[in-house]
Amino acid sequence: MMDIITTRWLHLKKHLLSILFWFVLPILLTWIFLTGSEAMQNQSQIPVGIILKEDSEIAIQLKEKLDKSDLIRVIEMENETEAKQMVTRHELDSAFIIKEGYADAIQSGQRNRLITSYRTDLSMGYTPVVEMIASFVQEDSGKSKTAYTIMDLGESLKSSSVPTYQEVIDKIYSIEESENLLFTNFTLLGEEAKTSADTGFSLFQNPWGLWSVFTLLSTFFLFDWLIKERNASTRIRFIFHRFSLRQYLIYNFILYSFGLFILDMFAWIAFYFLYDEKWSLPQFGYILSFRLTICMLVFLVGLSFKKLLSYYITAILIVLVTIIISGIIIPMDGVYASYPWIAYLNPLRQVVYEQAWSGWTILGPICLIVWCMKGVYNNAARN
Amino acid sequence: MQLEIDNISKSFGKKKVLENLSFQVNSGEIIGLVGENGAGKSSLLRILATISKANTGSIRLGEWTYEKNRKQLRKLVGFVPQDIALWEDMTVEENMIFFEKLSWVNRSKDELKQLCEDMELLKWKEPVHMLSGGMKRKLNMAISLIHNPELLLLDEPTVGIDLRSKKEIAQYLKQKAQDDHKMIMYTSHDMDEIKSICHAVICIGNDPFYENLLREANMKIISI
Repeated sequence: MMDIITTRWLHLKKHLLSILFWFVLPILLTWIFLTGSEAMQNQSQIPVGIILKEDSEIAIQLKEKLDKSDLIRVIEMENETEAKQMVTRHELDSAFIIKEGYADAIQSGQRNRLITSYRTDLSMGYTPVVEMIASFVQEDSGKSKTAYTIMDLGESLKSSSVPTYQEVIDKIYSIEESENLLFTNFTLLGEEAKTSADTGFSLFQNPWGLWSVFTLLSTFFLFDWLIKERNASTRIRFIFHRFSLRQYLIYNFILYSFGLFILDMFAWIAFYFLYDEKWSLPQFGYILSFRLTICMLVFLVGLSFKKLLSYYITAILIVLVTIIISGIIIPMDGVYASYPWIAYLNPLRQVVYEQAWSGWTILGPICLIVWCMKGVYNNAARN
Repeated sequence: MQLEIDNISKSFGKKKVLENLSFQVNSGEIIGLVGENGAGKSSLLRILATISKANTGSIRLGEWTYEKNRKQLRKLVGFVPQDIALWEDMTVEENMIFFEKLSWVNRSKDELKQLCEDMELLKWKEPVHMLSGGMKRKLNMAISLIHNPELLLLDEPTVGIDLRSKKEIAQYLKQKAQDDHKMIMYTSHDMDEIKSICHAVICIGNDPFYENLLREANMKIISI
């Protein structure tokens, strides 16, 4: 194997820059796309200023609820005058001041004049934000009213264990959470119910999805040595050497798979620092299985080509088809329900769906063995 | 060591290329193969190089037969293809090291360099794409000699190169046959070259034109 490593190095050192580019590309593009999508998401959210004049729990909760909305980007501010000026300059769509005494007002069931707001004629997000705040206030007010009703009832019935205000509120939250766990599903008679596993996947939901797409693409481009060397004029020399061309290609395939897996570990380290992707044994297994699978797939595709251009075009088409069957461009839930084998054909399955294998994990070795056996029989016939 | 070819024939479909060919080559002999294009010179070299098989007949190199011992024979045969089979982006040194690593034998870098210098190939650090045609031909041959084969087969090794390189290659081959007792067979269309190097010539296709030329040049013709 040392001899093969030496011969590979002789090739690699001539193309170090381009190889480095393809090595770094998946991590770099993942970072660019995720950062870009985050920035775009931030830009598309309506900037709304919030000034908390009191730091009660209920006021902070209201701010947090608004913050969770995909439509709003909450900017917490200290100074009311500054907020007003920013609204005037259209740097903020609108600003809301949660006055002092908000929590007391909610607890006493008062729902009027709790929040002061600033807006302009161009505050397009003002009305939906007001409605959102109103619904949150209504919700808090309702909870508060419930708590006081229970406490009053306890007192009038002279109960020995009257719950406190906070205990009732906590109980309401715990009931809300447990009810949210209920999954409601509507299906037509005779139709099979869909499970949560059928839900679509977004490549942007974690770095691994995007990384797997770019890794597949870069693996195709890194494996172009296969077409170059397999069809080079030097192939005739392998007849007179210790390694047949087939052995040489297989050894290099192993070498590349191993090397690229090491680089995948570097990607993981990068994602740990960038996106807090923690180390886990199952994830290690998925990445290993993914790497072996795509290297086999790319190797087998490479064996079918003699011309680089047609190989590159096919590689790009395969990546596009993979993106499509991942369900990113068009929803694939229905297709997967009718043709479940399509999901297994996705070479990104291990990383995207956190599965131990895909169809290619089984098909790949079978095809490789057939290819190797074909060579043995051919040699035997020739010998 | 002796190369014995006994009654071999080769055809591609209905076209017979070689028919009942028999001859012998001894250690230290340089045998030229002549004949018109398509006569079967390259086909014969490819059979002797174990790249393809004869349809009938038998071939033996020393104790090994071509029918049963192809793997062992490949360690004894060196084949210089007509096309330049080199890595163009690598230097002379890298090409030699690359093929040495895949070879049956281990050669030191000094030995590899010496092999090139023996052929007057002195541009050790030069990338192949910067070499002249003659230099490329020499390197093409040097790589085929890394494993020190007993039988060296050259398919038009001097085609398209300058006179100086031709002379240097011819000189090297003569020395190789004489000093190391190697068997050398090679094809060429250059009669002067054939005359200056070869001990005997085989006229593939029994073309009277070539046979007359060889007789006029007082060349020893091996009857096939």
